[in-house]
Amino acid sequence: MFTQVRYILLTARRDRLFLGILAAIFLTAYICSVLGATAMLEPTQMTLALTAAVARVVIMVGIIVFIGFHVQSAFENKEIDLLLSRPLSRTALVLAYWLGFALVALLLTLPAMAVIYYLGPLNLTGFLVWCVSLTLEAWLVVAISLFAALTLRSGVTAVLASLGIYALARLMGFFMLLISSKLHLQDAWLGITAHWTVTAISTLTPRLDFFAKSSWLIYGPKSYEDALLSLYQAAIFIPLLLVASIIDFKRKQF
Amino acid sequence: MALRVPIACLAALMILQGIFWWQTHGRLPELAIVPDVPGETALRAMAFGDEEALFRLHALRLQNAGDTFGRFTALYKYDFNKLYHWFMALDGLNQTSNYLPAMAGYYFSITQYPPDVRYIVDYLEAHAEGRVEQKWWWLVQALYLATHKLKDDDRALEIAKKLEGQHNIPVWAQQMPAFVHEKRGEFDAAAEIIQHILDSEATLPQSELNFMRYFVEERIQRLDNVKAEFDATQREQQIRARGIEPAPLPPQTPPPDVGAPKSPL
Repeated sequence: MFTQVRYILLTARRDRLFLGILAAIFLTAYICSVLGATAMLEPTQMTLALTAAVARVVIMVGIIVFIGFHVQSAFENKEIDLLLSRPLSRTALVLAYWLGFALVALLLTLPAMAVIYYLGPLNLTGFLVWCVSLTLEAWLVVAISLFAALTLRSGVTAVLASLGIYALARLMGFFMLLISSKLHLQDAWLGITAHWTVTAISTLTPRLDFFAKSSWLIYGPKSYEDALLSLYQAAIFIPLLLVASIIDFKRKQF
Repeated sequence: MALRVPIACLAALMILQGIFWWQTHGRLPELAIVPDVPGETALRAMAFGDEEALFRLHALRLQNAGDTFGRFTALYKYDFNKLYHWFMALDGLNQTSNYLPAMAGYYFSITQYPPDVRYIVDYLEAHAEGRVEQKWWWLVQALYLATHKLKDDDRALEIAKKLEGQHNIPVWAQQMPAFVHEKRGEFDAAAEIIQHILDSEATLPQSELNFMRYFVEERIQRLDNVKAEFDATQREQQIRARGIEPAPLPPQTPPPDVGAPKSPL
């Protein structure tokens, strides 16, 4: 299992993932600092919020693309077949993959945390909560991407599907707002259908809008509940996706 | 030899592209000064779960609105109604930040078309609504703009009254309604407010006490003067009623040797 984890780390290094993401984060921080400096008031807040938001997108897209194409190449090069020929169960293989990618994700989030710390978060508790939440979000995205990559054989499809799920999960708070609002479509039947469709989708989609809020770096979390929601969501959804991936992987014919 | 046809096709298509460019290079995207305001729902969707980042991004966009792509737009050309709605919409994303009220109060309020300032006054008042203790500064700014830019003392008094009786704000801000009453010539109301602050504030610095005492005494003095003038006029009318000619008034026109235009009277 640990050989597999080490192998993933080596491939990430080989693909210059760490270097690429590091460069992207530094570039992001620099551009956001320049933009923040032009703000007529609250330049630090401006820099922090923009850097945190863009760095998060950079990291998540990096993870999704890396996992999508790594798993595709593993299938194409028969690496999976080779791994399965060793005394390693399919469950252990999926878990090893997640562990390896989670470690890569953690290493990718560290520079973002360092940059934000260097910029000077205005609320230290908020910064710590943001760091934990960013890591959890990255791990959840790893689970989503791994699930997509193992179930969909094409790398492009897996990446697109993961990006779609990520965007949907980030928008889920907005959809919940729509459901609970008093907005009504002209056609009552259409309204009811839309309402139940969105409700059904929302039950199966994680709420990523609870994670790594930029406002925590400035004002701190509003409450402990606000900060803990991301922890609960990750604790439920990561195992759920892993179990789904294991079931699908066990049923695959090689 | 075999590539001759594809190369010819490529050249023809390149020429077509050149013609297309020639025909369309003058068609530039339309640049509005103040961008259209999205609805609250659309704004929430655009946030992708991170309202703070979207707030900062749009706030910066508003700050630079009209001054992009080498343009510099005079503030009287801005649509202040749109700006007001932008401010209100972005306040829904972040109510704590002082970025927007600062931009509205210090920058957009210096428009060359003063009637537009009413939108800024309305926004600053709305921003501080229900939380005067945290946002009193913006009410003071709204009050200043209503008084000196809009020259609307009624609006100023409306805003100033929100500062009245707020004990956790500076005393000078609490005194604002008194100054507005003073400007409207309502000396008794002004003195009453100051007296009320004197009575209700437990700890006041000596300088503040001195000023307030001076203010009350001066208003009482002014009221006494007004009363004396009123009594004198009344006495004069009584004398006239008895048929006695009062003493002639001093001339009300400027002296003849100061170069002032002659009075039509």
